[in-house]
Amino acid sequence: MKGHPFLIIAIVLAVLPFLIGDPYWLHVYIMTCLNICLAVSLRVLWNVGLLSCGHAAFMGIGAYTSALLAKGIGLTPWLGMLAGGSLAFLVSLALGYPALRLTGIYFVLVTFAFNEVFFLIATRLREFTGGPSGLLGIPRPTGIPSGKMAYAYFASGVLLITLTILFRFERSRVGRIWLAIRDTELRSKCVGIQTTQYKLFAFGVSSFFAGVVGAVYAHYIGFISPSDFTIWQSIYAQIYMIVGGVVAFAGPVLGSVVLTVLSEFLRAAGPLQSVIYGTLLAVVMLFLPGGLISLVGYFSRLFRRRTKISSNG
Amino acid sequence: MDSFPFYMQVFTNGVVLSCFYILVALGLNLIMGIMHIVNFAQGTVYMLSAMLLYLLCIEVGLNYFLSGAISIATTAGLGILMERFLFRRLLGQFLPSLVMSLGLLLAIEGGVWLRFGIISKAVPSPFRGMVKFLGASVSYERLVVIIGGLLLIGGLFIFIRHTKAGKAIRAAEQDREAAILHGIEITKICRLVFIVSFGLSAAAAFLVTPMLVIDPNIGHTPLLKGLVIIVLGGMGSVTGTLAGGFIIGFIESMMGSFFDPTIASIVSFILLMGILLVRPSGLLPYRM
Repeated sequence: MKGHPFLIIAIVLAVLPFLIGDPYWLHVYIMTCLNICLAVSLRVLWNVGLLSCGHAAFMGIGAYTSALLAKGIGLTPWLGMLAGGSLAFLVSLALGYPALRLTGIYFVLVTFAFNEVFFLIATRLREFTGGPSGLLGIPRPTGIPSGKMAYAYFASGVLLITLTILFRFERSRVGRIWLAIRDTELRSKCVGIQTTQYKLFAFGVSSFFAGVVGAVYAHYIGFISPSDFTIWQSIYAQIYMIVGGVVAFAGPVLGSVVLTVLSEFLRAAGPLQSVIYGTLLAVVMLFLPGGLISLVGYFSRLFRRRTKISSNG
Repeated sequence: MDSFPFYMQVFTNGVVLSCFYILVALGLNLIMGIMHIVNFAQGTVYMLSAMLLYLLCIEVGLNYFLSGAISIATTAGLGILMERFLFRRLLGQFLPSLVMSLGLLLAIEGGVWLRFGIISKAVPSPFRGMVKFLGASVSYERLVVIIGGLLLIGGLFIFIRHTKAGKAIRAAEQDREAAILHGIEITKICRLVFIVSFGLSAAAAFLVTPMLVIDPNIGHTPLLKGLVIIVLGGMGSVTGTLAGGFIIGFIESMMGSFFDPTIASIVSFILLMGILLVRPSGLLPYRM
C-alpha cells in the first residue's frame, strides 16, 4: 500500500464523483480538483523559494487562449488546453527572464503587477476578450458528454496527471536541484548549478499547469471574464498552499480540499463567511505555523506513542 | 482643457493622492522593516478607522475632530493588541504571517460589512469652501489633505531621523541582534512601530474621508498602491517611499486626467516592473 499512493488516489478520484452524484457537490468537486492543481503548481515555484501573486494571470492566459482558439478557428479544446498551457509557459519565460533576478517580496510584487496588468488589458481589449462583460459560449471539449458527472471525471483525470507529473518532477534530479536552490542558493551556484535557468524552468512548469487549469475551467463554466482572474484569485491559490503546509507534497492538496469545501459550506453565511474564513485562517496560522499538514505528523506521532505504550504495558 | 486651472487641478490631485498613499505606505514600510512581514491588513486598518469615524461622527453625532481623535487613538490601540497577540507570535515566520494578515483582512472586512452594510457611506466634510489661486480653485478638503499629509510625513521623517526612539527603530531594522545587544528593548520598538503605523493609516482616514465615500472594500486600493510604492522606492527607506509615493500619485492623477484611470494603473505597474528590472532594490534603497 505504501508503494502505490497514486494508485489509491486514482481509485479515490474514480469513485468520488460517482459517490457524490449531486450536481451541486459535483461542481464543488470539480472546483476542488482545479484548486488542488493550482496549489500544487504553486508548490513547484515554492520549491525554488518563490511565491507568486500572479498565478491567476497565467490561468487567464490559458483560459482566454483556449477559449478564443475554440471559438475563433474551431480548434478542439483538447489541443486548446495544451496551447493555453504552452502560451502561459512562454509568457512566464518572458516575464521570468528579467524578473527572476529578483528574490523574495520583490518577485511577489512583480508577479502581482503582472496580474494587475493582465487584468486591465483583458478588461480593455473588448474586441478580443469581450471586456468586462466576458466571453460567452465556450464549447465543452469534444467527446465529453454534457452534465457535471462527465466533467468531474475529466477533472479527476487532469488532477491525477498533474499530481503525477509534478510529484515525479519533485523527486527527479531537477526537483532536487530546485530544493537545493531554495535552501542554499549561493552554494548551489558555487557547485555550478545555473540557478536562474532552473528557477526559470520551475516558473515555466508552474505557469504551464496554471494555464491548463485556466483552460479546463473556461471549458467547464463556458463563460470567462477578467474578474475570474484577479489578484485575489492568485492570493487564494497561494493561501491554499501555505495553509495546507509547504513541508510535504500533500500539504497544498490538503489545504485546497479543506479550504474549498469550507468556503462552500460557509457560502450561505453571506458576509459572515469572510469573518469566519478569515478568523480560521489567522487561527490556523497562529497555532499551526507549519500548516494543516503538520497535524498529520502530530497525530501519527501521538498514535505511534499510544501503540508503543499499549504494547509495553 | 490645456489651461492653468486644469493643470493646477491635476497637480493638486497628484499631491492629494500622493499624500494619501504615502501615509499608508509608510505604515506598511515601517512594519515590513522591523518585523520582515507584509501586513496585508494595512489597508483594512485604514478602512476600519474610516468606518469608526463614520460611526462616531454620524451615528453617535460627535464633532468631526473629536471623532477623528478617538478613531486614531482606537486604531493605534488596536495596533498594540495586534502586535502583542498576533504578529509577535509569528515573528520571523514569513509564510504564516502573510496568511494571517490576509485572514485579518477578510475577517475585519466581513465584520465591517456585517455591522455597516455594503452600501457606500459618506461623512460630511467639516472643511467647506475653496481657495482661489490665479484662477484655479482648490477646495479646503484637498488643502487639508495636502497640508495635514505633508506635516505628518515631515513629522515622521524627523521622528525617524532625529529622535532616540526613531534611531532605535532604524537600529533594529538594520541589525536586530546588535540592537538587542546594545540594550534596545525590541518588544517596545515593535509596539511603537505598530502604534505609529496604525496611527498613520488612521490619520490618513481622518484626512481623506471627507473627500471620499466609504465602504468595506476601500482598503484594497491604498494597500495595493502602498505595496507598489514601497517596492518602487526601496524597502525600509522613508525617502524611497516618499519618492515612490509622489511618482505613483502623479502618474495616477496625470494619466487619469489625460486618458482614463485604467491607463493610469497600467502605466504605473509597467513602470514598477521596468524600474525593478533596472534597479532590483528600488529607486532609493535604504543604505546603512
